[in-house]
Amino acid sequence: MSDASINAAPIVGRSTYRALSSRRHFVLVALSFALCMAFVGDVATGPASYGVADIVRTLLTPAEADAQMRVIVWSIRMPSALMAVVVGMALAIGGAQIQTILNNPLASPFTLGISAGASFGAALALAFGVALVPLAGDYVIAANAFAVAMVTALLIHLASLRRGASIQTIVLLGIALVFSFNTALAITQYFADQQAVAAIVFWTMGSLTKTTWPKLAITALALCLTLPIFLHRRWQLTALRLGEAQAASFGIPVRRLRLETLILVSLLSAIPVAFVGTIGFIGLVGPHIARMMVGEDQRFLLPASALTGALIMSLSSVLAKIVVPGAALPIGIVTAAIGLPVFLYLILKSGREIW
Amino acid sequence: MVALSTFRLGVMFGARQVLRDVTLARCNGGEVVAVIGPNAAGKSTLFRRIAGLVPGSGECRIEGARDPGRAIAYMPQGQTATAVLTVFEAVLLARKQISRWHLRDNDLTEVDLVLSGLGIAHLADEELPELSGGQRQLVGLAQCLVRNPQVLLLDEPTSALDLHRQLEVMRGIRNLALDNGMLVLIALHDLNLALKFSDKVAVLAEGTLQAFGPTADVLTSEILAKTFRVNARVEACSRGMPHLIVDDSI
Repeated sequence: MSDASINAAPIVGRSTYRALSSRRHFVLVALSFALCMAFVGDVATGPASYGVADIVRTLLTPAEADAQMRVIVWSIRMPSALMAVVVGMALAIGGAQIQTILNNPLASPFTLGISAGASFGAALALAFGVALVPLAGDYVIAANAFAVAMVTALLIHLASLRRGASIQTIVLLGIALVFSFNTALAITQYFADQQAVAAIVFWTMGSLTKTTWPKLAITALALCLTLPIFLHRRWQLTALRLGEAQAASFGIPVRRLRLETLILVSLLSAIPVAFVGTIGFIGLVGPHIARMMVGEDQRFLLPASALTGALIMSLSSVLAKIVVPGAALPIGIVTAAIGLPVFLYLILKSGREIW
Repeated sequence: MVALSTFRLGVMFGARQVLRDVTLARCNGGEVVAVIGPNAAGKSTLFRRIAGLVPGSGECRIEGARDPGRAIAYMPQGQTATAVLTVFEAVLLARKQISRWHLRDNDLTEVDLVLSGLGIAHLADEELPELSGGQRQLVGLAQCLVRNPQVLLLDEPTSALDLHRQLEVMRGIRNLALDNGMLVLIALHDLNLALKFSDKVAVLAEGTLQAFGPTADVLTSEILAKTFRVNARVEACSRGMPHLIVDDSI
């Protein structure tokens, strides 16, 4: 716009925008600090009780730490504590993006059937030893979960390509898929033996206790591969929230962006679910809490969602270990138990619409 | 100077032809071209076809564009964003679709200038869901202008504005075209606005072009009767300005 065509007016928007950005940066720093505290607390919590100072010392200078403590911290607690962080980040980012591309606050990998599909795939392996992916070896459960989750995402995408398919249609299809997979899971459990049923039930509740370094590495790799792509497309993805017509008018290839994001979200959701079981609440509540704190701009929403999801998972992991002394509750139960009230509190307290 | 011509543009939605052989001879930068027609005449589809948002037949040619890929900005009608974005952010977002990856001072300055130019700088911190329909239209216009287009396609940008704002915005658009050599195609239902501010008028009905040419030549009783099914006439008021008077429907 040329100077000739505008009125002389004070430039105020920029300064308030800068202030808003500073406030959002501060939120990110505060969330990071809270996550560090929760992470250390997670590593410090367990059957053997250690002080926070000892834990921090063992984390920072493992060579100087007591051998037993080093083994407990680095070989047993670190993988699951890091897995809590990585899974929380992955699920929350996946939820944020699926809410963005479908323009629906109820959308998440859980509500679209991706998680339910993963559960069904895992149950096939647990109950009947069915391997949907050849040569999966020790990772047959995870591979099955991943395969069915990806097929589910593909189904959703194919439905979205149909002429006249609205976003509401896709969400309703997702709900139908959830019920279908839950029915299939119930049938699988009916025909499975008692031991397999117990394994399926435990798996569907979600647990970090069977985390290993290779599983953690694969999950982290999925996060590291997808996050930069989302960050690179942050302006386009944010524009999707202005509506399809508006985004298209900016020259954004909306349909292609949706497809590619859905594939990446499926990857980001299926891999954690494949390794730690069903953890449904993070992908829904994490992005909403983040959105309330930093708004829709993906430059802030993405890291805030990741940090919020990771924080909820870490706190849930701590609670899972201390609620029943000597035993670890399935983390999926705890995330739902603490996430839901927090979510309701924030909605009621904020007094403004979050979508 | 930018110039736009279309040759036999057509669009099919399934088996239904919603736009058929629309040929607009050379529209030049600096001109305001009003696109008028009854509901479902194909005005929005024509804009979407020119903007490359819907596939179809025919050809749309732009000459003299600095960057042909970014020459056109299109403002769709009926924007109902629920996103928790401030007005400043929403306009910045439009700007960032055509500028570099990183946020620069220049981007923020451009947003401020456009908001000030449209007289909505005071709305910069308001969130989109809190805006009225008219305010949203102005934000939509700002989102187009901040991209520095050479061709502006505005789909009913004044439909939710009050009388004062309608005139102000139309005058601003008129000045933009004159000062910047921008070509503005604007879909309008208010034919008096078309009469007052446009250089040319294109009349669409049932997806076909009924008439196209200088405003005074096109806005005639015969064409209005045929297209809109109204008895109407253009007469000069006491100040000598042409006004459209609608007597009755046919």
